[in-house]
Amino acid sequence: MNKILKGMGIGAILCLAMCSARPRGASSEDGIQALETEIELAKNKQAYLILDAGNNTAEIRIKGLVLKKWDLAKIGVWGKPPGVRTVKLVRRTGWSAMDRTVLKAEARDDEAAETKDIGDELLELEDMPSRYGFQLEEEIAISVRPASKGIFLALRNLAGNIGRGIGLPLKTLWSSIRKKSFTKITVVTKSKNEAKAIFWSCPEGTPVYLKIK
Amino acid sequence: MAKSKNSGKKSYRKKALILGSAIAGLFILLEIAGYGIEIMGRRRHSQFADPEIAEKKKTEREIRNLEKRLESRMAAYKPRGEYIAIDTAENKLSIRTGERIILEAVVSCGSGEILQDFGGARRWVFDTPRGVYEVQSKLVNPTWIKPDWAFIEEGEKPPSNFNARIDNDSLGSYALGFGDGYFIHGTLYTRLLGRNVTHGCVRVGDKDLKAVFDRAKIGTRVYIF
Repeated sequence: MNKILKGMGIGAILCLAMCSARPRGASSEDGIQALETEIELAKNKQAYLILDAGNNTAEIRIKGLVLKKWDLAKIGVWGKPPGVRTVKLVRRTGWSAMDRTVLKAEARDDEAAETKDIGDELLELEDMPSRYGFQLEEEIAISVRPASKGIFLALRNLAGNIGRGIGLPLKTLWSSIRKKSFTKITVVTKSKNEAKAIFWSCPEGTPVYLKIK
Repeated sequence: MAKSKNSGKKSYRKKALILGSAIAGLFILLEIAGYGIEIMGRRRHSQFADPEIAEKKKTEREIRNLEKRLESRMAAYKPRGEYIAIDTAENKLSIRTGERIILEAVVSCGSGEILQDFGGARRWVFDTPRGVYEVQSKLVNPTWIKPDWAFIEEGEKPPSNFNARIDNDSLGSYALGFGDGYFIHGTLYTRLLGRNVTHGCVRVGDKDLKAVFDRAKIGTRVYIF
């Protein structure tokens, strides 16, 4: 039994390595489609996220103006590559929930207020999760995590890779039974703070412009 | 008796091993099927990639012309001249032209807190709004007309007397209004610059505030992200 399980694990890792080929970015031939897509986005006041596998970057733009750019460690894709298209961010999931403090109107205890640490109630960048998921429209999911630095993070990422190696094929199978396509994009940032900043910049409803072929 | 017990155990082990192997085999089959579907999907996608693009394939010249037209349309959306960019995550305000940063200042943006009225009838979310705005007003020595939440937050009832709402100190020497009651203004709490502590406005230190105020014009675009 142990041999079978070991074999399965190794097989899954090998298959994952074979299947998770590096995605192509948009080539120059796709420039027109990319421009048309972005012109549509630029008509609105809202910020949007661009994930570009060709340049390995994530950008926050408003009306075509680059406001923030991150050079990523890696963008990987499982399943049907989404191509050049825009989809909306439907839901964010994170290991640590982004809780807001609710202040209730009541007679104030000045002494307690003075002794309270100012950072307790605030929602700041450091409170954001560094490992999380974005559920987009059309069954597209993005998982974001920082690159491995240190033995603990490396082990955690290895465990995650093994988990994905086993879980993703089953999810693909389940989706094909339901006659739906399934795409999972993995974004690996260079640092924890970059992953947190991407989470901060993308509230639910943000358009995500994918350039992943 | 002992012999039959042993043989019973053996046959039980055998059955468990067969069952375990069958489950593992089924699991491997499912995994292989999943991988197979993934690879087939990827191949199919690469064979018939972007039929719309294939349809659009014209001569190189036509494509270049179209690209130029689209690029000029895209450029029309970008700001001409100086604009203000506010990074709410890093609590930084910058004045830029194109990608060049002319001035950078540490500021305070919205705290993200939610305030509920007595009885919970009304609630306010203290976020700095995101998106693109324009400077709509430039005020020297601005007066803040305190809204209801400013009293409720302090555990007080909002006053009916208008004069009780007037505050001449909190906004500092200058304020730039960018709509919906939000301002870029000064602060008494300079030690909190760099933190998310405001009710949605953008607080700037005195020295930087003067420089931002001087450079901004009515209509200057404000990009908040």
